[in-house]
Amino acid sequence: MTAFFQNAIDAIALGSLFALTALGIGLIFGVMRLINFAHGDFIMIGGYSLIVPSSAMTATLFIGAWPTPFLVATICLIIIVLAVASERLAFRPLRDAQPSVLLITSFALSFFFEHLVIMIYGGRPKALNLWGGLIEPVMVAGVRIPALQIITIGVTVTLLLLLVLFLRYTPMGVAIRAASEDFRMARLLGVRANRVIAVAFAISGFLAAVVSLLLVAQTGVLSFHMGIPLVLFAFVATVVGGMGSLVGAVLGGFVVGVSSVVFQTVLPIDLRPNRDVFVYGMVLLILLFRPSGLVKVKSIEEKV
Amino acid sequence: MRKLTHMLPGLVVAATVAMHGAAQADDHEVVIGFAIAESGWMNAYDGPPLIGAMMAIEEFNAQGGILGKPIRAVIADTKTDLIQGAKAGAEVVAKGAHFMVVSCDYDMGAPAATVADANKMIAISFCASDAKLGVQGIGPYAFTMNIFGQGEGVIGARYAWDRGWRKGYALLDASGEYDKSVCHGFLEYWKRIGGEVIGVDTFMQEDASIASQITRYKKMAAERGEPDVLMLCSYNPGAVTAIRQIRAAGIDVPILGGDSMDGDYWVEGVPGLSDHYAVTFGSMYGEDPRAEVNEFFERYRAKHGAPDSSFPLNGYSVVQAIKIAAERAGSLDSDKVLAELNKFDKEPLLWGATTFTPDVHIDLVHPMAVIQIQNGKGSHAATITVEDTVPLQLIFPAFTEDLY
Repeated sequence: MTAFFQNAIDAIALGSLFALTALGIGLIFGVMRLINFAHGDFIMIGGYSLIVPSSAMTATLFIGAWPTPFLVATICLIIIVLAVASERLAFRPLRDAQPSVLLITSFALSFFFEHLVIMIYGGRPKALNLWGGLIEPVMVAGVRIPALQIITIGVTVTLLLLLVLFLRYTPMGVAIRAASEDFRMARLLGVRANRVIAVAFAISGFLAAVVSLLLVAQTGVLSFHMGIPLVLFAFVATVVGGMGSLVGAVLGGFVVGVSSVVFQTVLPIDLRPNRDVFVYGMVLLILLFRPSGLVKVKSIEEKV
Repeated sequence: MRKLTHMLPGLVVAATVAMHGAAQADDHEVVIGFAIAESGWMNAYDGPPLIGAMMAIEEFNAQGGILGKPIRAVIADTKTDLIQGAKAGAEVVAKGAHFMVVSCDYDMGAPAATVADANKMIAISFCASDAKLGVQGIGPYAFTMNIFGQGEGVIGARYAWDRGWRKGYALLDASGEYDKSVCHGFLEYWKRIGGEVIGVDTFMQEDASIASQITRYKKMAAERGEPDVLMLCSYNPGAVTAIRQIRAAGIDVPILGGDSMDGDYWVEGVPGLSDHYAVTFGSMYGEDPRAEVNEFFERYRAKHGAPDSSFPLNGYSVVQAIKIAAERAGSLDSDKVLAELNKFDKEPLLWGATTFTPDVHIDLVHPMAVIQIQNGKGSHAATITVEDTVPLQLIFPAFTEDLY
C-alpha cells in the first residue's frame, strides 16, 4: 500500500510538471492557433538566469543565491518580459500569416535562443544546486515523500485555480476566452487583439518560469536542451487533451505524466527502456477513439 | 535503421568527396582533423581530450613534428548531433586531413568515423568505450583510445569486491550504448567472482525524475536488504540528476560510475557528495602512481589551469599513437600507418600501455584509476588492472542477451 501511495504521488508530481508546461503551450494555441516551440527555451532561459553569465564549466549562482521571494519574482519577471518581447518582435509582424509560417518562426526563435545561450554560457551542461533542501523527503501519512514533489503538486493546483478564477471572473480573462473561441468575432465585439495576445504570452511566460524553477531544483543541471523533453511531451499532452482547451491541456498533461510513471513501474525490465513507446501507443489509442482529444472544443472540431 | 538513415547524408557526402578526391593532402605538413563536439553535452567529454591533443601537437612540433613535418590541427564541430557529425567528418576530409580524430563516444563518433573509413582514412576516437567503434562496427581504419566499456564495469566490480562489498544493484541509463556496455561488464564479472545482484533498473537520460525507480529501490531494499554498492551506468547531465535524487532520498550507498563520471566539475549538483567512485584513466590530482601522468598534469595546470577530468591523457595519447605509428611506417600513407598501429603491443602511451591487433582496435586489458569523491572533493582511490576480463564474444554481444 505504501508503494502504491508513493507511486501515485510520483505520477501526480510528474503529471503536474507536464500539465504546467502543457498549459503554457495550450494558452498560446488557444488564442493564436500557434504551437510555440520556443516555450521550452523560455524554460531553459529561466534556468540559465539563475547563474552568472560565463562560459566556465562550473556555474556560480547569481539570482539563484537570492532569498526565495526575490528569486522567484525576478525569474518570473525576466521570462514574462522575454515572452512578451518575443510576441511583439517575432510573432506580431507575422500575425496574419499561415499557421505553418508561425510554426517555423517559433522554431527559428527556439534555435536563436539556444545558440544565444551557447554563446554566452558555453555549450556544456552545468551542475548547480537550487533549493537543495527541497529534494529531501518529508513524512506524509507515514510515507517519505520528497518535499519538492509536494510543492510541485501544490503549486500546480494553486496556479490552476488562480487561472480558472482569472479566466472566469476578470474582464481580461473573459476576453482571452472569447478570443480563443472565435478571434474575429471577439475583435468585432471590441476585444483588443494585441492586448489579449500579449497577456496570454505573459501568463505563458510566467508558467514557463515556474516550471523552470521546479525543473532546476529537481534535476540540478542546466543544459541548452533542458526544455525540449518537457515541451515535446507537453505538446503531445495538448493534443491528447484537446487542442484549444485549457482544461484539456492540463488533463492531457496528467494523462501523459501518470501513464509515464505507470509504465515505468509496471513494465518488465526488458521493456522498461521502451516505456515511451507504450506512452505514445496509448496516446494513439486515445486519438483513435477521440480524434479531437479528450475535451472537445467546438471551434476547432472539424465539421464535415 | 535509425543509424543508417542518419548516416546516409554523411555517406553520400563522403562518397562525393572521395570521388572528387580529397583536397590533395599537403605533404609539407601533417594535418590531423578533429571532428568532435565543441558544443552540446558531448563537449564535456570531447573538450578535455582536445586540450590534451593540442598539448601533444605543440610539444611534438617543438621536437620537429612527425617525420620532420609540422603538425597542424583542423577542427569541425559535430554539435553533439549525429547528422552534423557526418558533415564534420566530411569537412575535415575536405580540408586535407591525413588522420581523423572523432568523439569520445560510439553513438556520437560513428558518423564521422564512417566518413573517414569510407575515405580510407585512419580515425581514432578520443575515448569511445564501445568496441563497435572499431573494425567490427565501422571498418578497418577505425580505432578508439580506451578500454572497452565492459572493462570499466569489470574494474568497478573488482574495486567493489576488494572493498568487501558483496551485494550489488545496477541502475542503467538505457539511452546510450556506452552505458549498456559498462553495466553489462559489471554484472557479468560481478556474478562471476561471486557477487550478488539484488536488483536492476533502467531510466532514460532525459528523465527529469527517477522517483519511480527510487520507489522500486526502496521496496527492494526493504525486502532484500540495502545493497553494498550501486552501479550507475550513465553520463552527464542525466547522471547528476539521478545521483542528486538518489542521495536526496536518503540512499547513502556507495555509487560506482564509469569514465563519464570522472572529475568533480559536476558535484555542485549533489552538494556534499561522498562515496562516489569513478573508473577512469588516471588521477589529475597529483597522486597517480605513474610519474609521467603527474608530470603531464603539472604542465597542464601551468598552461590551462585546473583540469576537469583525466581525459586529456587520452587526447595526448591519440596524437602520440599517430606520431609513433607514422614514424615507424616512415610515411603518412594510411595503409602503412594502419599496419603499424595494428602492431601496438603494450605500447607505452601516456594513458597507459596500449595493445591493438588487426581485429581488435580497442584495448582489452588496461590499468584504470578509481577516483573517489568524498565531501565534494576528488582524489585517487586505487589503480587496478584486471587480466581475466570478460570473454571476447561478450564484447560484441547481442544486447538482448538476458543478464538480469
